[in-house]
Amino acid sequence: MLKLFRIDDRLVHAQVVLGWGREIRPDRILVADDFVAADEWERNIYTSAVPSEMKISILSLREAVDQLKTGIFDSERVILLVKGPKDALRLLELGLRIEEINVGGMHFSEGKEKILDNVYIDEDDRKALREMVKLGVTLEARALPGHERVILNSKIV
Amino acid sequence: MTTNKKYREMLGLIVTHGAFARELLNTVKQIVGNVDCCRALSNTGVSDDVLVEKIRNILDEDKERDTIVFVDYFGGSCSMNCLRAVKGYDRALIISGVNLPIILDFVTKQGTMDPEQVVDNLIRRGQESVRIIDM
Repeated sequence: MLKLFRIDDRLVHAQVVLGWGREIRPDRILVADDFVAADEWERNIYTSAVPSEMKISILSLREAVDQLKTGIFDSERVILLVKGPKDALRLLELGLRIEEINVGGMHFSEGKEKILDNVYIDEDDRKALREMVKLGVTLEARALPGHERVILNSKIV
Repeated sequence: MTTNKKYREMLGLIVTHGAFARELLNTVKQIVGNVDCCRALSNTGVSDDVLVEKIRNILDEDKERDTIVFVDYFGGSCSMNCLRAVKGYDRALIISGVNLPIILDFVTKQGTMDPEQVVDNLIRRGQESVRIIDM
């Protein structure tokens, strides 16, 4: 069962396993990322980053949706992570059903516009976020569970 | 009898969440005085790619010295990006779980023994300093 669907360009890191981990107590972290899934070295460093009480799956976007659809994770508390809005949108296009997406970490880099302290976007990001709003998704920006929930839907038009 | 053997100088690069690296280094300076064998970086507000680039720039600037990269939390983004940054560099190694005794040990021992010995020493120092104090 998906407890959190999060956009975070760092994927597995301390804020996720500790900050969200202590609130959600996930059984599994599911990383959906085509690049990481195809790169053994990257897979290994993310696998080593997960505490022993959590399992990790690192899958391509398509595999992630396929596996979620089979229901094999239904008995587990799952945090699903993608690096950016384009990947999140792709999961929805591939048939993932979700009402809310947490926009957790989109760090500054050259040419990105600041929306919030932890959310910087470029035009491609904006397009993908808008598409998700059209699909009826609530985009809530929050780095950690105890932070204020900021709804992005009206901020990215 | 003292020897005049010259040991290689080393660089310590502390990479942490928030202001921990900077303040750790400031604290070390309060204890031992000026320190020019250590630098500090934070991941706060910095994308992964930029952090990797900053680390590599420091490694490239300092080609003469072997570098120990100290990170705060194994599995956090600092440790992940340090791993990415040192990939392909044979003069750098990463130690996680940095604490004050480790950096104090590093700044006082580096340059006085072989780099391998410095590393062994400060891992032992860091581990020994985490203990229940019961006298």
